[in-house]
Amino acid sequence: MRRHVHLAPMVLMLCLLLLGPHAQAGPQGLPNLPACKDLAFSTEEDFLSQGPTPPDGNPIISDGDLLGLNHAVCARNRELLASWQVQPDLGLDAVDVVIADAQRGLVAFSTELDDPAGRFKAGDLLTTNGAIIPNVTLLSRFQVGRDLGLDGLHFTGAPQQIVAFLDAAAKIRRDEWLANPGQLVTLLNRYEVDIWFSTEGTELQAAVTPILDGHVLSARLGAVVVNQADLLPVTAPAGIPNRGVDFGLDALAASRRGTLETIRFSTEILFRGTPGFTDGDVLKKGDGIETTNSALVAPFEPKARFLGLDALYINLDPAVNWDRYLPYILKHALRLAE
Amino acid sequence: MFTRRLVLLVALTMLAGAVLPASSMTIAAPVPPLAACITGAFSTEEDFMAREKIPFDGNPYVSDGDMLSFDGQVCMRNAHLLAAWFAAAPGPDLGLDALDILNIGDVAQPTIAFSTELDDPAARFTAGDLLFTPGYAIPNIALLHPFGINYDIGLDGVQFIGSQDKILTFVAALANTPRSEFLKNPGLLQQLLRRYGVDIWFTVEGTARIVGAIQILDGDLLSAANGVIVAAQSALLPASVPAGLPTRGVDFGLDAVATSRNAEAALASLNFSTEILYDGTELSFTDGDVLRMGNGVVIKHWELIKLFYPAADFLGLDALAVGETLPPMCENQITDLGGLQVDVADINAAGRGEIGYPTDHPFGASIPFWGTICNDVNRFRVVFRKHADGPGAGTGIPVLLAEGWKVKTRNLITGACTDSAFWFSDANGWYNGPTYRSLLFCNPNLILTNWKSASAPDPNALYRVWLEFDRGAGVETEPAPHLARLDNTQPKINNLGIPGGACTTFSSSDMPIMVQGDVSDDHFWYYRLSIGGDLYAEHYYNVVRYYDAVPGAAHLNAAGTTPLATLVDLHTVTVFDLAANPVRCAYGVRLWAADRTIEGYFNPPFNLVGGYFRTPTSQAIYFDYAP
Repeated sequence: MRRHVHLAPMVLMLCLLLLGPHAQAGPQGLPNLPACKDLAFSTEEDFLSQGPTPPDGNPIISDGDLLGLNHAVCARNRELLASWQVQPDLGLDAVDVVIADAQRGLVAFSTELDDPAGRFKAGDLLTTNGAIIPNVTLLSRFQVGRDLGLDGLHFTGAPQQIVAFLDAAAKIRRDEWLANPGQLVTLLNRYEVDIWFSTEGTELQAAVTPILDGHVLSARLGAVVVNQADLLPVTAPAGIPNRGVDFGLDALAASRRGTLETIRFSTEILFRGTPGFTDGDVLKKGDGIETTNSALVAPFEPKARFLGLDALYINLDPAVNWDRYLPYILKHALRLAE
Repeated sequence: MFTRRLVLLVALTMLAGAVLPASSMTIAAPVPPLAACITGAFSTEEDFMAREKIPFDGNPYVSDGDMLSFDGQVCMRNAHLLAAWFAAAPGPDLGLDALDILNIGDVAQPTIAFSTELDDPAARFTAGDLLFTPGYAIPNIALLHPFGINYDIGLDGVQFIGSQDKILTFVAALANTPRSEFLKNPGLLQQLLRRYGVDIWFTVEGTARIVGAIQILDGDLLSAANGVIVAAQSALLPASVPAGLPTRGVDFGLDAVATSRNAEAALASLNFSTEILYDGTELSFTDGDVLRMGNGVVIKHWELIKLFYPAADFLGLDALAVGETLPPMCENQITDLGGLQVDVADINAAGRGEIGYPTDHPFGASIPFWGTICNDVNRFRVVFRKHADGPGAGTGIPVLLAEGWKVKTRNLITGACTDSAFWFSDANGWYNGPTYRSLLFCNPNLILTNWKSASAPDPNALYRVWLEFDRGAGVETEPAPHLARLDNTQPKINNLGIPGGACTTFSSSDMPIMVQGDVSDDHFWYYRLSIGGDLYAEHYYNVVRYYDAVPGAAHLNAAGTTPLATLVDLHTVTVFDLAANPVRCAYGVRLWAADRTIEGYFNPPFNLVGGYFRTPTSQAIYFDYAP
């Protein structure tokens, strides 16, 4: 009993530390990130914005920049990559905005190109606090053993736990992940979070389950969360082999609770049936278009109505009061102390 | 060198067996039909199932890493392309992002240049490297070295320039230049290319800013030998397309390239595809179409993939190669159909024509067919079969003598097209081939036949139509049927309403009033409202299409108003659109509902063929206005 009394405050302190200011995205932070509080995305191609000039004065929008509502450029590619001080634009292929704060902002993402200095690959999961989770580690529970790319990304779990997980992940070097990929699942279990993701490539011979680049996968469970066939309306011939086509999964968003019905996504290729969609539209699981690509990019006033969609984040938990940390911490602290 | 060839041959043979189902392993390994890709090849962006026509190895699964022919065959599985790196056992499918077929004359020793979508798991090459089927790899940084770029920015398209002999000699030299050598000395590639008098044109995945103001877009075509931009993004697409940064506004990317190996002719005949689609007023294309430099679409995407009979009509285009010269050939085929002469390449998997609108169009009333009948054809006919009935014999489409079809003929003395004659088929739809060809002199756009589609067994169904022809050795058919969706039913206005119902009296303060409607049609397109009364000229409101981003389209979809069988708001109307002070009188609101059907007409005595969009249906509702 006395031991409980001593341990509980210590664990509580530890939890508060984990929830405190974590490693940030470089000395300047991400000053425009709050504009991506509710929605963030990237395009497939670069374009010239004819709308209001971005805060940095450069009207050229790269396919590596993080864009938001109302013509917001929430972060340039180099700002996302500030932890590695990468100069070239490496593109932006997947994104999840974990904290949309100017100083404490935390974004998880993947690039289109490898790091020129060899520190990470285009398929790795990166975060603005410097974490690198190798692609093969994400796929460790699927026993794939090779990089399949990273096309869509979404964290599920309590936001503070996701932050704690990513702070812990940032302390693990890439080579350590590669040497011991199993520690990812251990960490995910410890923080009760999951990483939903989609790949660029297909692995039909995977030991656990065949992987299509159109499936939503779970890194924690090593399972298909949503099959390609279930993402699209039944009128689309989605899913292999039964319905005939893998439409791919290029961008992914959902609620933090991991409610399947909240899934939003985009495909790799368009469909001209009924209901039709392009590979730049935001689709709702099983229900077709929610937002067209032209509506998404229109505030930037580009010279073309379609610019593709490569990465997507949508805040789908507006009413959830996740910020009430204390009762949660106390509950877990006491449980750990026992 | 001999050892490498032997390894490749053995590996190809092993792989041909390895992709078979286990139960077939005892049978001789199927040989990939490489020759089918002699005229060119491509890869898709996504995997799909081939239907009706099964690939050589019996596996209907087609990967985005397989090399596909224009006639619906899988020429090489991804594992075949990568066989040199996975000689012991078939490797993983790494995708196919760039392609140039350098030599497939020798089936046992093809030389194909390509790149993958994913890195080699054993780190022997990256997805940005240029690979060769004999097992050579040129690292991406060697290609980019002349541009001063020292990191991997991907490889999206590739085209060798130079004589085939020199190119193959260059490739053979790579046997003595391992990848590691290029990494140590990236400038070596440029030296080799110049030594052998060849060039590699290529495109990259990423955008790179070089020291100074120059920028390489992923939509630019680059030269590895000269370190220059061969064709900037802005030069590739017509001026009406906002292509190029920063001036015109958008980088559309460059995903696949293929052209002649002759440097002088290569640019003019450059075929390519983009990374993103474009929906413009003068030109539209998808990222799966084959475009010609400065000229727009030359091959619609469906034309590339249709002979695989996929379940969707779009699969994307990632890699493209074309043969040096296409063999001259005449192909008996239907080329166009429908009243507005829709190219069969513009007809999608649902059998509806795509003619530049953001939607597609079924066919109704008269459906004329155009096509090619080659010199050796004795007789031909166009047949139809309901798609839902599956494969089987078709029914001929005749135009009988009794219909009085008259065509121009040459005067026997003057040779001028001043005479006329009756032209008709037999009861089964067969026409005489030589006579048809001779009639083309005076009737250059002569149709193959005309289908009165309203009398089809189901006038609103999806049909397969195809050409049958006889060259003396029995009846032959086109390689693939075409689809045609019929719609011979007018749109239905089920209900039309205004507040208070018909004959309500409104005052000026009631204006504007909301008009409600309930419209249905399998291929609904748009509605339009008009208001009229007294002696005022009728006022027409804007057309509202189901895909328009306007409030008036909020309750529309491709089948009419939604929800079904419900009066929904369309948009408001007001008598003040007729006059500033409209008089007390009865007024009417008229709803026009249109579907997307292309209706054709055929006037046999005058050999007149044409078409239009079906005339809208209309219904009116009336009210009183008392200021």
